[in-house]
Amino acid sequence: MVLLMKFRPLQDACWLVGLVAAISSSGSTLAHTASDKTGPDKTGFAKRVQPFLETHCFRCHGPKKQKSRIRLDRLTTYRSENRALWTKVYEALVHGEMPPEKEPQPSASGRARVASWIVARQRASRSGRTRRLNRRELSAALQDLTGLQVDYASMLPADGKVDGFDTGADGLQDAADSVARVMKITRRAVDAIRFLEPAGLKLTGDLRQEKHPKREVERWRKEHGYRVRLKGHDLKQKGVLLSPGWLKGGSESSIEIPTPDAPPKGVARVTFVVSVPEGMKGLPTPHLNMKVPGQNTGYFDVTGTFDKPRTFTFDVQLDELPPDRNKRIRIRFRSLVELPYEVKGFRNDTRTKPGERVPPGTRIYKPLYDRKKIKNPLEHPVPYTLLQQMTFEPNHVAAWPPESWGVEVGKLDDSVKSAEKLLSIWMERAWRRPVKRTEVSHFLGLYRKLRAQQMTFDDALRATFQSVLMSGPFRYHASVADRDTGIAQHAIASRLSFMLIGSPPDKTLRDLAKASKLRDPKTLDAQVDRLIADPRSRAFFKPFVTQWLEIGQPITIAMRSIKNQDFQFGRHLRDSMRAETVAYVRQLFVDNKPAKELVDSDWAMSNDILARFYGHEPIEGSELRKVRLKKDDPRGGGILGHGGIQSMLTWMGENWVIYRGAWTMRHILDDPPPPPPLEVPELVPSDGKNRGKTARQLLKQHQEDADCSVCHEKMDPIGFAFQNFDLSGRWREVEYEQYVRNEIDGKVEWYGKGKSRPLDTTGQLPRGETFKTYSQFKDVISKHYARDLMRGVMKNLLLYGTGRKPEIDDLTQIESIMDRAAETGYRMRDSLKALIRSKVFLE
Amino acid sequence: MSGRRFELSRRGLLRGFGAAIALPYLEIMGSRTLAAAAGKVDPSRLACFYVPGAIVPSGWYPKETGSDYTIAPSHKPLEKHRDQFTLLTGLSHIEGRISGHPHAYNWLTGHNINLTPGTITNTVSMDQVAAKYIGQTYLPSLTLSWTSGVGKATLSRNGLGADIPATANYREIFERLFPPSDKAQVKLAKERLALDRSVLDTAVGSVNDLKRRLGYIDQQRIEQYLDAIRDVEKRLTQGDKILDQGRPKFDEKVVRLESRTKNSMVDHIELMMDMIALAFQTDMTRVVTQSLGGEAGPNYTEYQDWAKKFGAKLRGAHDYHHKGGGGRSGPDSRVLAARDQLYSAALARLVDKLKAIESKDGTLLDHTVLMMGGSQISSHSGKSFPMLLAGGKKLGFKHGQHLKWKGDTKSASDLYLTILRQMGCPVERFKESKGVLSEILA
Repeated sequence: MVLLMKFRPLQDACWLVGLVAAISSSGSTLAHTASDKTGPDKTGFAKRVQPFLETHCFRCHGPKKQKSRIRLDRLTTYRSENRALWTKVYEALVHGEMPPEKEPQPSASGRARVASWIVARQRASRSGRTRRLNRRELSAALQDLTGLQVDYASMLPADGKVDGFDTGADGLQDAADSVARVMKITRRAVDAIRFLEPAGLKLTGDLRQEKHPKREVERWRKEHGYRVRLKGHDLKQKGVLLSPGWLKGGSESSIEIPTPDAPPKGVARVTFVVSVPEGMKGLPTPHLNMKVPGQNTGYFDVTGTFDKPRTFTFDVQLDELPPDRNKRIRIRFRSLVELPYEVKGFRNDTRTKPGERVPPGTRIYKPLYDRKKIKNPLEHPVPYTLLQQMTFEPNHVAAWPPESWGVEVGKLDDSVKSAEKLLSIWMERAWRRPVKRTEVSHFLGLYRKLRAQQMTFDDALRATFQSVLMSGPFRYHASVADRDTGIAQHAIASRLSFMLIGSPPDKTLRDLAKASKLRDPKTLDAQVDRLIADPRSRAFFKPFVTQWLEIGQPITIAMRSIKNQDFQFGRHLRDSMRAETVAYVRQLFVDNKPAKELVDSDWAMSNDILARFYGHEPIEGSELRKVRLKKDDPRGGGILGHGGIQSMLTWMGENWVIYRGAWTMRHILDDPPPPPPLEVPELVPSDGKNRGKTARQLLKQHQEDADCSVCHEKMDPIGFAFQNFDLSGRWREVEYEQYVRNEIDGKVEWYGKGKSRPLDTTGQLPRGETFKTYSQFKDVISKHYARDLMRGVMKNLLLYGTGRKPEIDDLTQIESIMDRAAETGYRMRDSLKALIRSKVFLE
Repeated sequence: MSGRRFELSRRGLLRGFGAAIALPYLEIMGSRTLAAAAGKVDPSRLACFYVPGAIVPSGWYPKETGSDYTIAPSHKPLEKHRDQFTLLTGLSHIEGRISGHPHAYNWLTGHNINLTPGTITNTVSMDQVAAKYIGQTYLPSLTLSWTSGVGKATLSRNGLGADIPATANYREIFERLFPPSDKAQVKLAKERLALDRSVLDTAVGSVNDLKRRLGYIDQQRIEQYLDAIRDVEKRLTQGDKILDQGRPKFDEKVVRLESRTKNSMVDHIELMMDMIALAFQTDMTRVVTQSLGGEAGPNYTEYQDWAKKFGAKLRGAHDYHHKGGGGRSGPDSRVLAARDQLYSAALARLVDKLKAIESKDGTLLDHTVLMMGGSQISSHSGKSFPMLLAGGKKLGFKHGQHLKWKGDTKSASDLYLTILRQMGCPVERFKESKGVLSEILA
């Protein structure tokens, strides 16, 4: 019996992308059929390479066997679509990993001949330098252009991935259906801006009224047909206290919008002016939670006082949303708390009695009070949100160009001149580079044609703008090696910007590109510093860390018992657990920490709910911030102790050791294990004869299979380091003979049964270092594996930033950067800067 | 109807238009097909249904082979249609064999999706080959699923191997299937098409400029974009023609576009299948794929009912596949077997429906190939597919047997080739096919 690497639905796509697979000469997709510009070198291959492969490789990687699922007998020459495989062959030869020690070894010159052939071919067939915008970038670019905060990405089909990254050029394909979809989305974007047309209806409700604050917005129904329901208490002269989720009489406030006969061009825009009511002390920070059908728009911390309120604006694309049975669309919002809390002087309200079916929705451990006795809502132990003002624009079409751009357009009128002026501004911003007159006049031709067909100024210009969005320079990244150095400069600006802030270049970058300064190392360093420190860099770290560490996988929040609901945290905890890892990695770059702090430090990123989950000192608010950890905290700092990471690496309560070990090798130690053989039976500890055995015993039994032992001998011993983390990533000191796991309505019950035993946390790292505890494991990693950590990060940054997997020359560059960074312990931001200054990024 | 009008002018008009059909739409088709109402012979249709995850082999495979076999428990609901379906056991993708949950990627393509390290590559799925030759309808094909999206949510891949997004939204499907009903809408839609064409025309010029600046590999990438634009333009032209013919008349009130219950597997599948029957009858599309579920859910309410009934633990759909699939037995397997049976019952219902619609020579079922199956017996095996073929008697299929081949010897591509050829597609081979399966032909 062999042991199975587990497959899980949400991650197996990512799993697969890690595979090195057999190569077939037939049936690849168009994107991969590109042959080299210089033509394939078939003679060199037949003379020098093939005989070598045949002698040394085919036995395990040929027609009969495909170890690690690598097959080499079908290669007929170097082809660009196989470049990752060739890189792999090169690495194995040069580092002496292959052929294995026990096999006959080729001569050094034999190895070198093949290796040099591979390098030469790879250099001759440079991988592509452009790719289309992925859906994330497309959405950001449309937001940037229109000034609207519509989530365009959610309306576009997902992109193919390369090693889990949505920036990989080979994954970004095009087909009629997706292009038709892009056509529709770009249409939406231009429809929601206006030039000469007047602004649409804007309803403003000031709730700070002496009498009946709610009526200020309730009258919109009679006057305009939009029904607003505010659930909560009127607070004279102040506004309306919005109720949180659990209060009687319904808790969700809403705006009901009847679906119009004609499609609206714009978006629905809602603005809330809110603050925290003054009164009750010791309450958690409420969130303003907004939902549209089928989507949770988000949670926003409500802070601010009556005099200094906060303003939230939401843009919603209505016609993407399904209307309900009454042909209405409801935008719902409420004050929300997902943090269990207590207030002095109040008993706790457990609500559900043992044995009752779990009610849907989030239930929170909270104080009980009697509404009839406490009349003044400000004395309720309830985190209300005070809504002071509200505006609603059912068909918001934004004036363009956005005021925030500060561009001087002068007086606009219905003339070709005005059209041309606006079009140039749009094109420059859309194409992310200066445009030539001829380029503008090409598109102006469309405007003229449409005007001749009796279209209005605004409509004709919108269609023309859309055409710019369907054009190549918008949809494709320019090449940093473009022969026009001006274009190349702007390409660098875009590459930097899309990488580090997830959106098109800002004014500073555009100006530097115009001044041709973006190959100057000092300038580049300063820009990396500036962009990483900018809050916008979250749009870099979130997708980067999520894809690198595969943290989109499900996290299990388990209870001891579903019936008693004795572990009550809401959705916000899961989000916070993922955000924690992203924020931690970001902080490593912001503070320019050495690589070892990725796994070992004395600090963490925390918020109200995480502090509660980990048992740290309570803090307020959902914003993540840096906190120092206590010395005796067994978990300590570093991403391997993050509850979200350890929880997502569990599966059905079983098999964690292998999966955690394999994940650590792949993502942390830069030593990815090869894929498991096809069709291996699963190791299910709860199956009959396996019951009662420890993980160690079961794994030993499985390692007896020679084919599997090669990798499992490396992966499994690492996995034991994490035995202290349970299914939900909580710290534990013992394990039980058996675990019971049940699931209902997405709620998981999980508890140990039978005898308990101490945990076995001893293990070994790939180069032979041993450890007895989790903290020893972290010590070994920081002492001996810092370079591996950093190399892994660099390879991932390279793929994320440039869209290509590291090739032979790239790997050489990375190693030389690492050599220079060794002295200071591989500092994160310094290494990133070195990468960006290098050929890898700029050529 | 305001809701629909509002949707229609925006949605879908670009999505997929086949070449125009020559027939004028008729007042009332009744229980006849569009072709039958015009006194013509029906074109062929194809619907493929993907069974996710593992099946329960002991419930699925009959003990005997040949035509004298005993119906297996999972196919009990199909018993009355015994002479209308065939079970094919032991087919698989030989070169294209994969393992794990991504089977939905290549069930219909037969491609080894792991060929290029780090990326999932694919080739055309067999339904799209069919659509290319027989899909000259309003929609060349329809891609349905349990959730809207690409990747594992869809079964269909275009000629380049790129995913064709699937939809799970009933209203959207309905609106994509039929052109608008009122004149003002048609006029608007036509103007929209004309404008889209101008927008693309102008854009293409600049794409070509960009292409000239780039190296060979990059040019290939841009060429793919240009190809896609050309396809979209073709659809615009075809859409224009079909808009001229208008919407077929049928009783729109009986079409259900909302599920009765919130999270019911059977309701979802039946609603989709009703739409398929309507689409086939009105000849709005001839090719449909539908993924009946995902590898990890949805956790339909049926699972809870079955768990209660069979005394199984409450788990997610994914865990039932693992704990109940393959050679296992016990309560989890009984849950999974109940699911297998539900699929058969849904198919039996669709067979009933298609049988009740007359064609010129027989019924709509006789002109429709229904294929239901999956790639996995146990949770990760790709060794021997559970496959079931129904209908299509007028296309030359014979039924009522259980055929069995030794594992890893017979390619599913042979079946796909057979289907394509019988449907009239002029193809010589599909993926790794060696020849047609004469055993299933009359």
